[in-house]
Amino acid sequence: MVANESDNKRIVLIAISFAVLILGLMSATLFKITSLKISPPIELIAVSTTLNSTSRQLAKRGQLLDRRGRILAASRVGHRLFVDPSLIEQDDIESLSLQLGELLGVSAATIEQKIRSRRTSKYVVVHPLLDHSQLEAIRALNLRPIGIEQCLVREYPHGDIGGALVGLVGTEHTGLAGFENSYDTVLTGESGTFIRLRDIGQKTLWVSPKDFTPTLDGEDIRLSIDVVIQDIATNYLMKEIRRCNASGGRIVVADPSTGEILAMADIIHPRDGRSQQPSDPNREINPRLGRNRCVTDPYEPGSTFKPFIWSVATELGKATINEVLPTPSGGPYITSYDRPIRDAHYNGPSTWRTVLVKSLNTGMAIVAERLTHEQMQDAVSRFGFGEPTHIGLGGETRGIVTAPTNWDQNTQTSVSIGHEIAVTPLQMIQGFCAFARDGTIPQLQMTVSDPTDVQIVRHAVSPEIAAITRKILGEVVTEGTGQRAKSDRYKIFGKSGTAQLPREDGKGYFEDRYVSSFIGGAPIDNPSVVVLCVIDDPDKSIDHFGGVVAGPVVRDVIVDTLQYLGVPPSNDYLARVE
Amino acid sequence: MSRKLIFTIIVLSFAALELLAVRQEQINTVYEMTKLHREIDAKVSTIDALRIKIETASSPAVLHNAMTTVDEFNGSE
Repeated sequence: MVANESDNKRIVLIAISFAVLILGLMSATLFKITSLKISPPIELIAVSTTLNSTSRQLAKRGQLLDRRGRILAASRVGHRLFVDPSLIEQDDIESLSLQLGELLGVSAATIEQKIRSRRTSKYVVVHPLLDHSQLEAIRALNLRPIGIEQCLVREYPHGDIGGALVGLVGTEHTGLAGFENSYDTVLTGESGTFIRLRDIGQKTLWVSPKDFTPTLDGEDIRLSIDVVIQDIATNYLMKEIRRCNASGGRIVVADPSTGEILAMADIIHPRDGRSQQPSDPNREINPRLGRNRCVTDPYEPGSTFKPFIWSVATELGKATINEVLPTPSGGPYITSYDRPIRDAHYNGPSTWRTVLVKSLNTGMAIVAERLTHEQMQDAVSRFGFGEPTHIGLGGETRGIVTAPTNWDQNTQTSVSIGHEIAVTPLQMIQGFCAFARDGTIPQLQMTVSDPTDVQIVRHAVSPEIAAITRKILGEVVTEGTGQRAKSDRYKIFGKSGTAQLPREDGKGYFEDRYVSSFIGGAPIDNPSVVVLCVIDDPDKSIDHFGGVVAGPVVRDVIVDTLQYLGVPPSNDYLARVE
Repeated sequence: MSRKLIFTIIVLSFAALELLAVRQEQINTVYEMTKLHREIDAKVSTIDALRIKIETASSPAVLHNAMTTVDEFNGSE
């Protein structure tokens, strides 16, 4: 019993001692924490910063892809180097500059000057974009005044191919021009943030879920453009502009079944000693900043406009295909209001079909007089002229169509031959799709669309009239003004146009300067592609007719594009080859 | 009574130690996660850069130039 009591006392004593020890340790810890909080040692203050640090996670801007998924524009994370001059001792600036200059391969004096000029600042960018080896070397330095900051870099892997279409981003990584600007809201993401609790060694201790905002990357956009077709179109256009010493050119390639634009290029090629040339001051700053004249600048289409009036007049029964019209054998046709209308070559009395095949202005004028002004105005608007295509690109214009109140007999005749009207290349290609389809006009698209869900914006002519017009446009290429656009491999249909260049001062037209164009499509039985080429002001001493200047460009682009798309050649060609 | 007291103190001490260990493990995990995220980000950046390099190298313009060079070389033979 006595032994038990003594044992109990000993146990209680040990327990109390243990408890006192623990309490003592806890009190010591508490004291240490309190003293660190109240009066931390100077060495600790020097190395400790705020324990919470907010980190920003960069949102990646969406990619611009071509129709086959090739990257047209993409962002990657880069690193820029900055220093905090307030953390550098006066005597250390020179040695730090030397060290950085050696690693970065830039002048140490420049770095030193940058740092000294902003001594009070806490942020001076020393190098805007470090490469991998520089980044590793700078990290290895592990110097306190040096900071590495993430930044987004926009890359354009295909360089100049479609460069003006794609556009570019500014220093804040927002779109300034082209698709980068048109689709900026979709491409731009939202940066995320999170707050980290760090220890004295800057190691992350904790990230609270409530302090975390996730990053939302921008969406990718798949454009209808095909880099290869864009390259084909641009190369042929450039080659022709150089050959005929033109002051510029435009080309649009579209898929008529879906309304998707496959390629679009606009080249300005200034010629010495010429007045009134296409110009764009923005391109001089950066070619990617230039306006897209296929969208913004209307031109007089000349004879390429005839098929539109021809098809509607035929549908209205104002002329039948084999009807012989009193087109003159020599000298101009005089309209009912005494205006002389001339042809490049006089053909004598010709059928309505021949009027289109041989591009007879006189025949068009004769039938134009059979239409009322309202019917002619309706013919123009049926194909969408005078209205923007609503393709979604900035700066689109609606062309120039004379208002009904100002529409007179002169207008009636002029419009039938593609004068006194101005259209954008986009409007032309959209209207021409009617002949490559069943008379319907699809909504033009700059992004890849579902082929089963094509939006039809207009019913221009009946399917029968569209088919007849296409057939006769095929004859334009085989026996008419578009013979230079003929291909052995594919049956092409199309129409040439040679319009005189209007004077900017409004005083009529230049006598010897032209806008030469050709619009065509292929294969004639089931068109897969339509192409419009407009050559601005070709040198007349070389060539100037639309069929001769722009026709071969359209042919070459069609042939190369169809081969690339795997469209089989015509049966005639296959039979010949076999 | 005394045994119960000692038992309680020991159990509470172990529990406290375990809680500290769990907390430390949690901190280590967060640290490892942060490191992993950084590594993933770095790899993704590398992949992005490589994709752009591949795209540039297979651009029609580059291929066209390469073909022209080959043609010129063949022509010169």
